[in-house]
Amino acid sequence: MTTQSDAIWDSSWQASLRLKFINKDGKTFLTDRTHFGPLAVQKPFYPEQSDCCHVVLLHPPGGIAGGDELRLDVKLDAKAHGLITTPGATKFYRSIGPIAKQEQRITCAEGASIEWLPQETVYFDAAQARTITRIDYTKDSRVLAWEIQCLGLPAQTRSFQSGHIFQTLELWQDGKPLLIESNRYDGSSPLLTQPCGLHAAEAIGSFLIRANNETIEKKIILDILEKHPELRSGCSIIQDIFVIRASATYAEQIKTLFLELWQTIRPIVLKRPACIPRIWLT
Amino acid sequence: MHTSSSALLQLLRLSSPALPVGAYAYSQGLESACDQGIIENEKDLMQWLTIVLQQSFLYQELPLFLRLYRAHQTADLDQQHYWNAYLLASRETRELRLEDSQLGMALVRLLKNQGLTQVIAWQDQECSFATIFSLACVEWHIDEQAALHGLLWAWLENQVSVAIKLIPLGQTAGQHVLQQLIPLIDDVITASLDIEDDNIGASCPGLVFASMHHEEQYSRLFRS
Repeated sequence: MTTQSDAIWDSSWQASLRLKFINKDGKTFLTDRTHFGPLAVQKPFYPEQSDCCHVVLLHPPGGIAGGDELRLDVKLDAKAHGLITTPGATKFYRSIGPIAKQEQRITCAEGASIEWLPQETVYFDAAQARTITRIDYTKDSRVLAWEIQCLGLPAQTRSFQSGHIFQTLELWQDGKPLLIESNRYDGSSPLLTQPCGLHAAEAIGSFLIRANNETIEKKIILDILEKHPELRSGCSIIQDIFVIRASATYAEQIKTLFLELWQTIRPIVLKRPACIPRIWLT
Repeated sequence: MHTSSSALLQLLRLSSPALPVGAYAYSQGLESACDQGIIENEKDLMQWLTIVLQQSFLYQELPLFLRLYRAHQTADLDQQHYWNAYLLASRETRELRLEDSQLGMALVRLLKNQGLTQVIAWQDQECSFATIFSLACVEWHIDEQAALHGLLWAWLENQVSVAIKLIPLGQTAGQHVLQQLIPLIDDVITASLDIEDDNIGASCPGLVFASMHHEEQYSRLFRS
């Protein structure tokens, strides 16, 4: 007889997806969407000007189990502009031991722009997960990237009491590390409750912005953060990267804040109003 | 490798609060954490420092220091520059990065003045304090475990002396904190030796928020 945990173990699979955006005559095309296993994209959307291509990542199984490995490799050619998001939260399920791995690599050529705006990642209690997101760019690329993690399911009082998460968000320029944020959350660690750590927040997010020559006033960002005292948040400018961090009880609060920041900053950096992907509204 | 008595004395000198690199001017988030009432007494301070040791030091500072040390030992320039860049990139606020590179630069100047010519290669580029500290340790034949202890102790003693001024705490309470953390230091250093390259990195979100707020704090004793 096969037990439920055996079934989880046996059904582990690998999935990968390769995307390539190119710019031709001012329009961005998705010329490669090769996938293996259940990781894919819908037909690209052009809800705004044709120079910006919106793509929604799909992962039909709905969640990632221990032992699963997902790989995403995105390339943006010179002057291409891609916006990538997800239809809902990415979920890492509890594991009986094996680690689930998600590796995402985005490479921007000269003058390319990437908006990496996935919805939150939820790590279920007892999840064993490793999520690496690395964005490589060159000197005149533009990057707007956020990632939001949620530990456990607070709405269902199912908190993150065991398991282990290692998650990084990295920016590299011309092969050199520029900003590396690594988070590790152990269910049993005092980091989850102590003020030096998460201080009992169950959701945490980072929003990184790298403009080209456009000037962003830090005050604009601080003013928005101040309007949301229900979140712990802050901003710092390291070299030419704006780093915004926020933690809260619910991922939704961080999404609301990041959306407001994006609506303010996108017109400055990318010279266009925020165009909210329809998938967020469904 | 064994640390000779002259090497040990060099390590004590490098780790001393009297080392003129300006470490005393930085609080690493402690000033705003105290200002906001997050750290109000000896117990709060102990808990704060324990988290930093168990996260940042175990998974980031010490493993990266070790790689820099070994890269100096083998005169591997690519590895020296790679791990130096990696460590600087791991500084999560402008203030933390500025502190690290200013201390690094100050140590370059000091050691150059003392005739350690190997530091000259670093004088025109941004370098982490740990990059130069590890270089000096290799040059002075301080073994790697002793060097890890020195780096960690210099940081810890500085944090406690900062907290004594800010909370404020008595000198005796400060010594009590140091004494209580000694067993943990040993555990952290031993465990840090086993961290593999793809497992390096850890953040203390509360420290990052505190450092970000410190950059905007209206009145400050410590540098930003």
